Amino acid sequence: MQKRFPRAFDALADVFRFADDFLAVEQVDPRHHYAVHFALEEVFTNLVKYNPGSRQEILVGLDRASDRLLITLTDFDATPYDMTRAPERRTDVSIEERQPGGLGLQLTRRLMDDMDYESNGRQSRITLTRMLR
Amino acid sequence: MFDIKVAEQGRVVLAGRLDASQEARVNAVFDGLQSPCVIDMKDLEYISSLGLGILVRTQKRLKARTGGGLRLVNVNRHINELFRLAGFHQIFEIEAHTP
Repeated sequence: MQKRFPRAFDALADVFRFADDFLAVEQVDPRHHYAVHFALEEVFTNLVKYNPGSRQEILVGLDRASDRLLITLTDFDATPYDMTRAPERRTDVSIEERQPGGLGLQLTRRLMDDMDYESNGRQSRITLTRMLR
Repeated sequence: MFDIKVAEQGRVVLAGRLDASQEARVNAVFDGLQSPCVIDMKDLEYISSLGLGILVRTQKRLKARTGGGLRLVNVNRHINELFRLAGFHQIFEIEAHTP
């Protein structure tokens, strides 16, 4: 199941609706829904945030193979940036030492079982895997 | 659908889904907080990293300015798990929602 979305934060509501339709059709246990929404939003908003001038839509794909849920986001006009290598923020430090921001991709990595990045010219694809167990 | 209100005694009430499209509305309220206060999440279903960042930024500012901070109350199970992964229990006072 695939759909293209405008490169805009306002498209998020439609992205979530698309995900909910998929999760309902596939009868995915509700305990996985939050993680799917969080990961989808995090990657989608990163693609929007770091290339707001582009008019290219972003392709979102959702697929299920047995107990494996695959989320793919394809950007056809991206400067190569491997989100899977984003630096980790320390989460065991005092509020004075905490840095606001930067937590999203780190939490996405923890909520997903795998996160993969491919780049080919201006095209980037991020694939997230969550095991439905 | 998302809603944010400042109720009695400065209590901030969040409801619905706080995603990145709500940044301006949430910043407008949190940037105006000048003293320690309660953030009521009883009807908050979802919070993304945008919301987490605003909470951390506000907590840092209030702690530095007043020594007190935000108390996050009525936190649902999913959000509480996210807070745990983000290490929030070390930097916020958090009360889970008990249905």
